[in-house]
Order: sequence, then C-alpha cells, then structure tokens
Amino acid sequence: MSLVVTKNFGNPQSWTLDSYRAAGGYTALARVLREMTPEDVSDLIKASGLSGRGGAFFPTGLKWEFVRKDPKTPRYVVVNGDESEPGTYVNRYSLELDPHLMLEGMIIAAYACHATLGYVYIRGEYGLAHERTQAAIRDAYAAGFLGSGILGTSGFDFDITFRRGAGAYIVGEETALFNSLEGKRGNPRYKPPFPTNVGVWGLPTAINNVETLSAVPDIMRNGAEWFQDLGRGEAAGTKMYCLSGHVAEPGVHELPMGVTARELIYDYGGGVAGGRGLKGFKPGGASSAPLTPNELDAALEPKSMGALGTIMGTGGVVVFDETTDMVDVAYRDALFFEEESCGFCIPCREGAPNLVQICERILHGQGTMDDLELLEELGASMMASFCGLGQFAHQPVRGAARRFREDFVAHIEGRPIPAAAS
Amino acid sequence: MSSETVTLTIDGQEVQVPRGATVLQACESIGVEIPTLCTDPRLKPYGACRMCVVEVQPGPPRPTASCTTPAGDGMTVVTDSQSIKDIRKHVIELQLQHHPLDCPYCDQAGTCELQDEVFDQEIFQSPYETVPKAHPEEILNEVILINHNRCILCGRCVRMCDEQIGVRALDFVERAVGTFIAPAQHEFMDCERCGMCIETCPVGALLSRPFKHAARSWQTEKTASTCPHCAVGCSLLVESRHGSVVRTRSNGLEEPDRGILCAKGFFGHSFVNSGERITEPLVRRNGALQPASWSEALNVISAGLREVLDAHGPQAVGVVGSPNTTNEDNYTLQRFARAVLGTNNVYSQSSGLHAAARTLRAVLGSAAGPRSQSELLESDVILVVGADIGQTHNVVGAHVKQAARDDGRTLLVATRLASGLDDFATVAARVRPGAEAVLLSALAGADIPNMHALTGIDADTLTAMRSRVQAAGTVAVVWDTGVWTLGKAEAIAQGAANLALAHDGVKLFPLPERANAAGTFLLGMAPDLLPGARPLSDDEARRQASDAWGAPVPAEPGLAFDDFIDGPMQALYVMGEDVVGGSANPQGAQAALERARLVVAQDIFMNATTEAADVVLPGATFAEKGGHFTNFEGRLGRLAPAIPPVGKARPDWEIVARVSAAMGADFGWRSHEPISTELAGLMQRPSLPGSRESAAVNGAAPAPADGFVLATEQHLYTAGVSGRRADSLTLMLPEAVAELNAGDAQRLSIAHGDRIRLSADGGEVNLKALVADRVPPGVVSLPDRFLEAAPRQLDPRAPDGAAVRVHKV
Repeated sequence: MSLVVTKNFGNPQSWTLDSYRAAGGYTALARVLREMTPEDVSDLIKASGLSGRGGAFFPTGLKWEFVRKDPKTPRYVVVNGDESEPGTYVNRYSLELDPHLMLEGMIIAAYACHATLGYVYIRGEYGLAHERTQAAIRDAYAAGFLGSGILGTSGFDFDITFRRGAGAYIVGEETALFNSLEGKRGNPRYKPPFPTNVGVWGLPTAINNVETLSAVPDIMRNGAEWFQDLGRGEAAGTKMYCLSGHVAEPGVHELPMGVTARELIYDYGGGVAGGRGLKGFKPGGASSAPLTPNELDAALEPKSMGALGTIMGTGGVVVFDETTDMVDVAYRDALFFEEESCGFCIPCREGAPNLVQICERILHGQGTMDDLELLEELGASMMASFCGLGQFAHQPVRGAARRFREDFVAHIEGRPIPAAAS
Repeated sequence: MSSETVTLTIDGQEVQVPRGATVLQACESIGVEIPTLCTDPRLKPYGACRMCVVEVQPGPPRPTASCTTPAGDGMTVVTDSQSIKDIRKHVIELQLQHHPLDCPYCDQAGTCELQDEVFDQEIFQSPYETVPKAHPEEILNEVILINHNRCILCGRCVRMCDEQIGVRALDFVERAVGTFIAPAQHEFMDCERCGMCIETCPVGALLSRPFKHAARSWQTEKTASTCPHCAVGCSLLVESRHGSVVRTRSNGLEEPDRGILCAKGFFGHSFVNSGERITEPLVRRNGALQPASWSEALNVISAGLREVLDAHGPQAVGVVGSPNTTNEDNYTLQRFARAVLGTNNVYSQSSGLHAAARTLRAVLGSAAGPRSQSELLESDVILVVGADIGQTHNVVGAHVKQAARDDGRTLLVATRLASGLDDFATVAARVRPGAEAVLLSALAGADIPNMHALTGIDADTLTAMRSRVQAAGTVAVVWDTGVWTLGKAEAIAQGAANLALAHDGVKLFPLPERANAAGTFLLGMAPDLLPGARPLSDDEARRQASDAWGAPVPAEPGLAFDDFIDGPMQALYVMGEDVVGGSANPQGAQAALERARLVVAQDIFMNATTEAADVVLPGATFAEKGGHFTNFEGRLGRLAPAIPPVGKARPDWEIVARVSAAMGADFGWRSHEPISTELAGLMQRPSLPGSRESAAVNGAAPAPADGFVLATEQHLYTAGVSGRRADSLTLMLPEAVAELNAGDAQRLSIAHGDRIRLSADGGEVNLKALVADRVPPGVVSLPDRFLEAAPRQLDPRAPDGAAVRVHKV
C-alpha cells in the first residue's frame, strides 16, 4: 500500500532539505501556488476526508475554510506537536525523520487559510525533534519556501516561529496551547468561540496536528479520491499507529485508517511479547478505555471505537498480556491524570485524585462493591469538566472497571486476579 | 428572526435575549436559578466551578457550563434534570473534601457561597474521604491574608485583580490538586490594596486583616452610603456593630464605581471610631480649650457673633465650608451666612477645583461640565495629564485601564511619574512637573519653542500624541486638580480649554481632589457665587435665594479669603477645614485667627485651626449623618447614618442650624431631607457663554542641571486628615516619604529608607527616602496629604515644580 506520512523515513538523512527535495519534496507546494486557489486547496482537502490526527478527527479542509472566511487578520497556522499522550510517539517520528513534510503541509495550509504567521509548538522533551525541525525551518527560509513572496509569488508571505513546550500534558489541548504560546498559564479556554475565529492572540487560527499536515502534500499531488481510497471502508487515508506495552515488536506503522487491532498487534507487532496470551489493549493512548480480546477485530477508526464506548484517540495502541492486573493499569492511568490536571475546574482537579484513591483502595484490598458504583457516579460528574482532559480522565478507569470487572471484584473479594480469557 | 435577539427554550419556557448573552444570563432573565461559584457579574465568564452546568440541545453530548455557552436561536436548555442535579451535588462533595468545615470561626460564614451550596444541594455526608489541607494562614501584605485551606480555586481574586483593577498581583501557582493562589510577582502581594480580591472571594480564603474576627457577617448593620475619601464618590456598604464601623464594602455595580473600590474605600474607614475624634464641644477658658456643654458653646457663639455684627457689621464675619462635608452641611452654612449673618464672605478651600472650574467656565461657558464618567470612558482617546489618576482617583484609573484594554479606547498618558496606566497606554510619556499646561497647549497646536527642554517629552512622542488627539472623534482630557496644581490650576485649565477650542470633540474632566469639592463649587461656596454656582451678580438668582431664605441676600460680593482674614475679619466660622494648615501663609493665618474676636471651628479632629479657635464643636463623619456628596461627574452620592455620632458629636448641618436658631433664626429642620429638597430647588445652572478665547500659558523654566524638581501629588494611601487617622491606611504608608529614582539615589549615596533633607527657597523638610521606579530622573516626589512634611513647607504658594536640593542627612 501507499505510504503517505512515513514514506521518506527510510531515506538517508531523511530530515534534511536535500534529502527531502531529492524525494520530490516541495513540488506539491510549487504546484499549489502555480495552479490552485486557496479555495481549491481547502475543497480538495475536504473532498479527501482528511481529518485531525490529534484525536478529534475534525475535517481539516472545513477548518481551513472557516479560518479563511474570518475577516480578522493576521491569520495563523499553528502546528500542534505537543504530543504527550502516554503510549503515543508518532509525531516524534515525523519531526525527527521528516520535518520538511510537515512544513510543506503547513505552508500549503497557510496558503489555503490566507494565513501569514505560524507557530510550530513541540513538546518540551523532544530534543532531537526540536533540533531537526528548527534546522528545517531555517533551511526552508533559505530556500525561499518561507518568508516573503514564497517561491517568487507576489503576495504569499508566511513566517514561522518555533516554540518548545514546558512540560504539561494539558497544553496539547489546542486552546491551552494558545495560552502557552502567549506566555500564559497553560489552561484551556472555553469554546465557543472556536480557534478558527478566536485562536492565538485572539485571531483566526488553523491549529493542526503534525501528522495531519504531513498528509497534505501527497493529497495535493495525488488527489482527494486517492487519499480517500487509502482508508478502509468509510475511513479516509492512512494513520500512523504506534504499538507499545507487552507487544513483541513495539513501533510505528502507517496503515490504512480502519485497520483492525488484530492485524496491528499480530501482523505488524509480532503478537504479544513472549508468546503470552492477550488480556486487553488500549486503542488510543492513556485516555482511551481498554478493550478485550473479543474486540480485536474492531476497526481502529473513530466511529467503530466510539461504538464500543472508547475512543480512537491518537492511535497509540497499548498491549496488556495475560499477567496484567487491569486495576493496576487503571490506577496508573489515574495517577497520570491526577498529575496532569491543570487544576482549573473542580470535577477534574478534585475528581482525578478520587480515581486514584478508589483504585488504591481496591488494589490494597480495602475496596467495596460501593466503590465501583462510586466510580460510575464520579465519572458522570467528571463529564462536566471544562475540557477533554477531565471529560476523558475517568474513561480508562471506568472502562476497565466495566470490561475487566472480574479483576476489580477479585481484589475486592481478596481472590487472585483471573488470567486472560484468550 | 431578528439579528439583535435570539429565542431559546429553557425548561419548556420560551425566552428572548440579546444576541451574545450567555445561557446563564438567559436563565437569570426569567428567574431560573442556576447555582454558581466562579461567577461574579464584574468578571468575564470563566467556567471553572461547573456548578452552572445544564443540558443544551443542539450542543455537546455532555453537561455544558451555562456561563460560557452563548445562547443560540432555537436552543433547548434543561436546567433541572436529575443528572444535572446529581452533578452539582457531586461537584460540591468533591470540593468539600479539601475544604475545612471551620465555619464557626470563619469570617465568611453567613456570606459564604460554598456554605450556601452545601445547604442548597442538601449535602449531609460526602461519599469521599475528607483530606483537609493544613496550610497555615499566609499574610500577603499589611491588610490581606490568605487561608489556602478554604480556597476553592475559582480564580475570582486573580481575575478581579487583572480584569477590573489592572494590577495582576495574584496568580495560580503549581497545578492539579496542588494548585494554589499566590502573589504573582513578589514574595509578598505588592498591589494597590484595594481589597477587591477579598470582596469577590466566595469563601473565607482571602481575608481582610483589619476585619478578621471583628464580627459575624449577620451581626452587622448594613448601611448604603458613599465613600468620603475622594471625588469619585464610590458607593459603600458600611457595616457597623455596637456603634462602630467594622468594615466597608463595595455596594452594587452602578456608576460611578461599577462595583469596585480602592484601598481608601475598602480599608479607610477606621478614622470614624478613632480615639482622637473630637467628641464634645470645647470652649476657650483662661486661654485653654476646655470641655463645655452644647448650650454653653452655643451661647458663647451666638453672643460673640451678635457682638461682632453689632460692632463691626456683617462684613467682619465670614464662614468657611468644606469639601469634606455634605451639600446639606455646606448649604446650611451658606444660608446661615448670607441670610442670617448677612455676609457674602463665604468660602471653601478646595485646592485646584474651584480655580479650574472658574477658568473653564470663563473660557468655555457653563457647558464646560461636569460630565459623566461614561462620556469619559466612551471617548475615542483618553488623555491623562499631570498626576497619576491611578493614585489620586484610583477607581476611575481602573476604569480607564479597562476602557483601553477591553473597549479599544486609545489611552495617552502624560504624567509626571510612571504609573500602572502606562501598561495600558498607546503612548506614555513623562511630563516635567510644571510643564503640564504647556503640554496641553502644544497638543492644541500651539507652536512652542524649546518644547523638549520645557516638557521633557521628545518631538516624536509629542507628535504621536498630537496626531492621535487630532484624528480622534472624541477626546477626554483628564487631570487631577489636587494640591499639586496650587499656583497653576488656572494655567492647566486654560491649556485644556485651548485644546477644547482647537478640537470640537474634546471633553474636559478636571477631577476634584476631595469628596465634595465639586459640590462646594456647584453650591456656590464662594464670595461671588450662589447655589447652582450662579453669579451673585445675577439679580434673578439673588431674588430666588432671598425668597427661599426669607431674608435679602446682600448684593455686594464678599472679599477674597486672604483679604478678609488680613482685613475686616472679627469673627470666623469654620466647618470641616483647616484654614491655618492649608494656608499659603500659615503663620499669618494663625495670627489673623488669634486677632479675631471669635473663631468657631467645627471638625472631627483637632488641627491648627481648631487649636486657634475660641469654640470647637464636634462634627460628624460620613458614617454618622445623612446627606449627599457631589462627585466629579456632578452626580449625587447619598450618605446615610450607619452609627450614631460618637460622644456629643452632631451632624454639621444640625450644629450650624442650632447656632442659627440660637441667634433667633430657626430653620425648622429636624433631619437633612428638607435641606436636600430646599437646596435642589435653588440649583438651576446658569447659562454663561464663555469668552471662547484661547490664551498662551506659561511653562516653568527647566530645572537647574544639578538640582531636582519637586512633584507633589497625592499618594494612593494618603487621604488627608481622615485617611491619616485610618489605621489600615497608615499601615500601608506609615510616614511621609520622599521618593526618588534609583540612579539619583545612587549618585547621592542615598539608600532606601535613609533620612534625607529637601530644601528649597521657601524652607526645608526632613523625611524618609524611598527609592522608587516610578520617579523619573531629576524628580523628587513628595506625596501630599500626609499630616507632616507638607510640600508647602518647601514653597507655600506653588510647591509642585519647584527647584529643590536633596541632601542625605
């Protein structure tokens, strides 16, 4: 199958401008500037079915159209590279191995949005990604792909500022990222107004994930239908999935959107490590509720995951072998969200520590069946949280308590936890 | 479908609200009660507490905060489903895990929003483990402390300080459940001490140190009144118990304060119950003032006045009213003087306001003002000249900041000292003390040579200001008329008038220094004016006053005050003013008072005038009487008695009326209301054309290269006699200080806190030096309205802008 966003990863010195151009890089941009109007670009992206790879899957072309139609200027394109979801490391690969692909997509986005300014915001811990992305930006300026009058056009100017994060998961939330860019505390803002109208510095902003933008150049080259057809069923394009946990071969795989978990874990990841049985898996990072082996054949795409009561999320698939205590998994997830809550709203700030406490009680044999009920109530209240962090923080714990109820009950009743079903 | 309104359905009830209203506002508009904790009508929507969640269709598939959700056409809102009720209850249960139930000794008990929610949500027992925090209370500054254990992190304090005050002294520190509120920039809370963080705190987290454990909130009597400390005239809620004022708070969101106060309003009330108050009449016997009964004092006064009138005629008698007392007090004194004593020697000291108002009226006519704060804040350009109004008129300053930041007004600042306004300004410059009038004239287009040397403002900055003024449709020119304008109030007003003549859209806002200075002018507390500030020479005005008062008002104007006391004065009646201490020639004034046959001084504290008086009468503070102040806009601010007058003190109007009655002219007043009515009937404003003539104004010569130039504007924490008797305010600024720039201090080897001597041609003062960023090089700032080290000791006539020498002692 065609690779879209990882196609250059194997090229020597793939992160350099020379290597990227040798692989045909920046020709899509040149063609867009020569042949297409901004409307053409966003229409094509809309038709391709490309949607936000950060986990929200909002239609990218529509987002760009909204930004372009807002009369306020300057307009911004912001790259969200604050990839912090546990079990997720796809952006890191892209930024380390092919930053120019993302930049080319970003410049095309700017053209489509009538944007003149951009930020690339990358997670603070991604040292090599900073280095290579900053070098890529420098080289792109030198080569005339950024700055004033890009590629000799008159009137298409686009300038990029690079920023690194300071270590907060919540800043991956787009509006928290804007606050961080503005030098403020990284708390989310309420929506509406949406970033397309009121984004960074209060101005229209297209904020896109690294992977989303990386898909853009090839869509420009090969057309909407080509990209659409790369996905399985109704899902469009490819997705970078990454495997971690008790899997034989952890790593990143670009596969058709909608590939099944079974294919990913067994065909591409070599199955469960040590040949052990599978207890369960998370489809999309820490904030997704875990699934059981019975659900291995579900498509890893937003709709089918939603139907199972979990989320597609970032495509960070985490594998748990048959020896895993799913209460412990839930506990560790809860600890993460307790630590990463920004502290802004009551349900998340005060709720997350209770997820931890309930898990702790159960793990230490002090839990009761009432705790499982309390978990449901707590989760319902956390749904009232200000942003996605709190709205999802309880899902992995609640999800585990529903699908792996036996583990919870075993702890409560002082029995050994059951082995995996498969 | 109108684009101005949207129609939605709330709990089955259709409601129409303006486009842009939130769902919460829509609910409130039809009386659907939604609980909130992080909402304050003064603040922007925030969405942190999640108590106001509702179900919205179309909308997200989860509970949505109504405070941050715009009401949309065709929206269906459910506010009271079981799941919504459960969430609200749960949110409070979660918050209660960390909130101590120390309500019995919490100052907020009874007005605590969390306490109310616990009750409303019927929470008797929480399913969660209680994990009380045990942080000690933290003192943030002289007057504010924080109890972190009670804090619910609603952010109202942080937002209040940012959005409303423009100071940003507080912020969130750390994250998640470990988040706490702390000073944003320093180890301690270096702020304006306005107390609005305390005011907005829904729980007992931010606390007033002076009020701590002073009373339970339900034990106090609450009286709506008006702040006595400056001419903004903020609404106050005065809380009292057992005859003492225990705290003052903001009262309502209306003009002029729009729901905020400054340090003086929130913390400046304790002078009312000061042990230094004059609490009984004093009569001079054998050279010394001694306690006397009211009847003895009244006898001495009436006999003395009668004697002077008989021997020397009414021209030998004069009265001095006060911008610290009410319209009713001043009006009573005026009627007594003109209609009973038969003299037009009626005065009121008011620093620069009367001078500015007269100049503006002479040039621009009676349409010159006063004007409303809304006109000020809605002007395209707001130009602040001279003193930092963030210090002198703090609440107006805060509103100006907001207008610049939130409403797109262009703020131009030409103050002598750096200030919090600078951060919000499009152009901010330092004008040299003494050059304010010249600057205004230059902005009006006058071609003034040597501008840079004269004003200290470079050509580019001046051009930037001038072009913005010229391009604007409306321009508000705002300046404080406090003591710093002594000797130049007319020139500054003429400069401002020149600008108004050059540009039709210019509106002028001279800000009076004291609470009722505008009132004393509009009441005609001057030898040549009558109520309404109508000229005494206006026959019709005189006839109306004579009719109202049942006695003819003499047509001959009174003498100027200095001419009067140095001339025919035999009797002087002073109400709420220190004519000696406030005089350009204190020794001369004191000698004049001592020469007089009778001096009556009615006041709340002893001062140089009461010390020189033959009879001293105990007046009442703002908290002990009814009446009105007239603020800088000409708006009436109502006073109501919160406590009975201390000791034998009486409302000032009543004292004057009793003196009048003792002299056979009983006005028949038993409360202030008939006075309010009577004076309102005489307040027709005159219609005067004005000369409409621009005039050149002089600027002070640049200071000698080796010397300093003096800036003397009021400090935020000084408020004259009353303020210096308010413990909380004196804590903030314990003694008179001189401020100078770090570079200058270093050059003179002066360290922060050193004693220094300032000397000028007129005299010298010794005081503490503070090294302050706000003072530009070459300027020494000597804030006015302390009781000691008055700038007038350096130059009695025009201290501001004077050349001074600075020495380390």
